[in-house]
Amino acid sequence: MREPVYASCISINNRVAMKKTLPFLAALAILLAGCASKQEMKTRLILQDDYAKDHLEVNIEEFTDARGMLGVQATIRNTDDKRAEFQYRFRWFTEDGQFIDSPTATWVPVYLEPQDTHIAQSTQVTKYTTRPRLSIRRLD
Amino acid sequence: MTKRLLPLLILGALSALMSACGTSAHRVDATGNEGITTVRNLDFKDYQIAAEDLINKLLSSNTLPVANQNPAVVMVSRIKNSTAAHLDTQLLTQKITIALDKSGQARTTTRVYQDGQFDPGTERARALSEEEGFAKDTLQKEATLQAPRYSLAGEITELHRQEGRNRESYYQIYMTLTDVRTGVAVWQDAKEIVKQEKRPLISL
Repeated sequence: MREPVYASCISINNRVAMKKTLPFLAALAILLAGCASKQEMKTRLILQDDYAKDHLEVNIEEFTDARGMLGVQATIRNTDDKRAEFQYRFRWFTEDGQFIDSPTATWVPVYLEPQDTHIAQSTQVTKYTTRPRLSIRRLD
Repeated sequence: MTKRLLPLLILGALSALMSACGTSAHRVDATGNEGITTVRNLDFKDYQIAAEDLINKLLSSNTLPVANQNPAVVMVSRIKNSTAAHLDTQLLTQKITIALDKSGQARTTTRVYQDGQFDPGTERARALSEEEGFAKDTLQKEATLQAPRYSLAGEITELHRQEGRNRESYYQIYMTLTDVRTGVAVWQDAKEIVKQEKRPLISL
């Protein structure tokens, strides 16, 4: 059987050198692959009216799950002494600002007792959407 | 004469008044909260809220493969309607399969759907080998269909309570994803929706 071309080009000395450098190259490749797959996420919070600004406290945490999928968790607290009625919506954009529509991009109503917290979560629509936006406004 | 006209005038004024109370037909934002809310049934917003919640739970559950790496094939099975109302459960399942498709984690088979098939086009196209006039290299080969690995199913249940003029409805939308190789549910979750109303003393 004919040897593959790339194998015939490697001399014995080269093979020894290759053995030494292979672990290094493999480590480098893993490192580079790790860097390439790590997606940088930037969540934008949009409080659309004074009601949301005055009565709600929002704390955003970004996470990456075990498979590398991005997600956002928003802890929304009603700082008022009255029941809060608001709605929120997560929308996911690409790095270039293109909106990728999804059934999850819908306004979700929330009814929150005074000082209580609501946890809203959203997972990225596709692996290309790394710019989530969380909008919050009063529920009319 | 005036006596004869008076009832007509009153009737005319009443009907004008009643028609003025209504609003003209208009469109609303389908993703917003301006739609009609009823207590005794699930409204389109309820399906949206349930889908939004269940999709996020399923996608973050680590059940399905990594996005775009050999996506799993999912079939839509039965969503059991255990309510007294007629429900279009596709409003829920289609939202979920759209999101799964976009995520790259799964593809939906339209050949295997509930007790039959969603798209009869596959069967029709595959039967073309028995018809004349089609180029052989464009005809489908035998045994190329992909069997589903997962089955999406669920159940919608309800509870209604009434106390005086207050009415309350509770809905639970429960969904499972079953690995058809083992018959074991690899993911299950539920979304609860509660709606209340206080009926007016006098209603039309």
